[in-house]
Amino acid sequence: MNFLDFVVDNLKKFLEYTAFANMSWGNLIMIIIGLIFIALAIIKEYEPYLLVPIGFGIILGNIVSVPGLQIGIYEEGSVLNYLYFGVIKGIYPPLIFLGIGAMTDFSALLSNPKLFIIGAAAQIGIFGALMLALLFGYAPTEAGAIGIIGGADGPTAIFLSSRLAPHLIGAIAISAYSYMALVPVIQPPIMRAMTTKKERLIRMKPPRAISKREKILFPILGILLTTLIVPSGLPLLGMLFFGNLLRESGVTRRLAETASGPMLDIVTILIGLTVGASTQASTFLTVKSLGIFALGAASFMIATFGGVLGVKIMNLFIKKPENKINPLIGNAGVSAVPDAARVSEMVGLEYDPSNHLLMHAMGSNVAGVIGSAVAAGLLLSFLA
Amino acid sequence: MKKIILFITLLLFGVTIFSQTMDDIRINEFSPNYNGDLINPLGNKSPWIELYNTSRVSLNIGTIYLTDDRNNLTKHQLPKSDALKLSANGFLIIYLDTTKHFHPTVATLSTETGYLALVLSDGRTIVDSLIYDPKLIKEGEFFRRTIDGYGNWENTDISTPLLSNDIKVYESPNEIVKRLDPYGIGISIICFSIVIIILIFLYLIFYYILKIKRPIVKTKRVEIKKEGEDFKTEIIHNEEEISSEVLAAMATALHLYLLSMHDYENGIITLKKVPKPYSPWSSKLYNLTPTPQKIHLPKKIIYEKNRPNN
Repeated sequence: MNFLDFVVDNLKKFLEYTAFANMSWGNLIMIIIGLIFIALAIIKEYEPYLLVPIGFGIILGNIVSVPGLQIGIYEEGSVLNYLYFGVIKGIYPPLIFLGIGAMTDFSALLSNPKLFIIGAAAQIGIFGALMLALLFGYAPTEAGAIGIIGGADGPTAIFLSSRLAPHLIGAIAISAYSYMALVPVIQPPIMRAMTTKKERLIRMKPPRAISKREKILFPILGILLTTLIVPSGLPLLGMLFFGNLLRESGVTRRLAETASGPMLDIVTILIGLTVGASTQASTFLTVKSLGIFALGAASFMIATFGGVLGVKIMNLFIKKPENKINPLIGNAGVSAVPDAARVSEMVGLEYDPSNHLLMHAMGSNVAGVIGSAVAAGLLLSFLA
Repeated sequence: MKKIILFITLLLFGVTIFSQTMDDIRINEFSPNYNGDLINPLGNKSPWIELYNTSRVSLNIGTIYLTDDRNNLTKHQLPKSDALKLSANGFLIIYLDTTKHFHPTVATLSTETGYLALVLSDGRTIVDSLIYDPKLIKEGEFFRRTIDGYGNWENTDISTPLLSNDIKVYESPNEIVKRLDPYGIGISIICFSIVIIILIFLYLIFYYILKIKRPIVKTKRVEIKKEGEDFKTEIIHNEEEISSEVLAAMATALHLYLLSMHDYENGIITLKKVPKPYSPWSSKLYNLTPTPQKIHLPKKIIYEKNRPNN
């Protein structure tokens, strides 16, 4: 072998190792999708904290390398694979719930505990999507994981799919986060269609101030009442209420700040990036993924329908007019904090510019978080 | 006399134990048309029978007979071998292979006669037998007792060689749901009802806790003493709770106020020369180590400092 052959051989080898040589059209499509996510986040500011890491992760996951170099996310021993471990084993979602608990003020819910019921009613989206998925031939565990998209809660969706259908995590997470970003588009038509003008103008009593003792009691009673009935919801609910106790106890301010600040940011970066990277074209661009997107949209619609209907049914039992609930906050029962609550406020203001529903909607919004975590725990105990 | 009676009793007892244990061997499972993963010691896939020791002592079943012919009960005698030892309530597989090679756990018997029997070493006493129609046996079909050693025979698709027949076959949740609730209606109704119940439960708990708390929150007992009067206890009601609109207005005002106060300077990168007002943050003076300065001391002090200590 002369020098020229040596150079040519190495050049050939190099070319074989480039991503271009190993890429498919699918990878190219996924990279474009990743770029669209990043563009939406930066230009339109749609959920930038999620779409930037996910979009970038999609690009990372679809730059294909030669197998055996320990680079790809599904390759054992690669850095991305180690980071992905937190998704597959369901470590990141409870940590995110810890942060959410530490940053959430449940006062709006505590001042009007009736809103708990809206959080439950909206969970019908989960079970509606579950039944539809079974009808379309998905395996029961896959159907459970798809159904949880209707909970409109990214960490919950990732947690449950990591337990029930790890092979669908990418599609489910992307679907859940995409529809959460699209809540302002999906929900208003359903809300308008299901309510009368009179109902939209209902003014709710302003929320009362909540004492510190009530705020401290909430996470303690909450964890006992929910997880004693549904222990499988412990990882999510336990962390949520623990985080909230750190916040409300008043004696662990530093811990609460860390949980809701730097720690939440770190885990959000890791979960977004790795979930994005898990969407390699070979596993993501399938008919199943398309089905998941369709079912995800259906689950959001059913959940919105269920939430608004739940309020309307509750109003039938509320006698005093001043205690009636505006059905426009029913949509917020799907979680999607705080976008769904913002939608309630926006739609409410369209009909009465002085009727602010945001705080009430936040109550049903956080009730939805608890409801979806309970539903995830139940699906886990039935299907795992 | 007593010793003789005791000896005879022990002898009878021993014989009884021996005969009971040999009688307690049963055919427990039978695979007449096996096509699974088990390979017999001769390297072939062959039919097999599973024997079960129903007694509570271990025993070696060497010298007993197995047969597939009603008219020839001593067709195949198992040899004396440690391989034929059955522990208490233990299992042993005997393969049926007509190839003429010897192994203690392989019997040269056929499954096509529709008869299989286990005969004691006396060659006459049939301990257990099985009659079946070989033409009706499908591939991968097994016979087994419903209870180890005693139960009735049943056809099954699942074999449990060297394991109890009572083992519940694991069925994944996927299979259970597919079989019992293919459209998920049952699961959905149950789960949704539980979610509703739990959150109604939370509502009731917090609703009633708040109801109990309200009087405590709203009233306060104070002692007032005015000049020339005794102590007087009064219950005064807290001020009306501040409405959320007022709170929101206060929060907005505070936010705007805090926004207007800033302790940073706007940073603009530009090529143009801009007037730079003095700021201690940008002053180089504060970032430099101060130059050491010579201290001028009176002569007397210098003399005192330099004088050697004697």
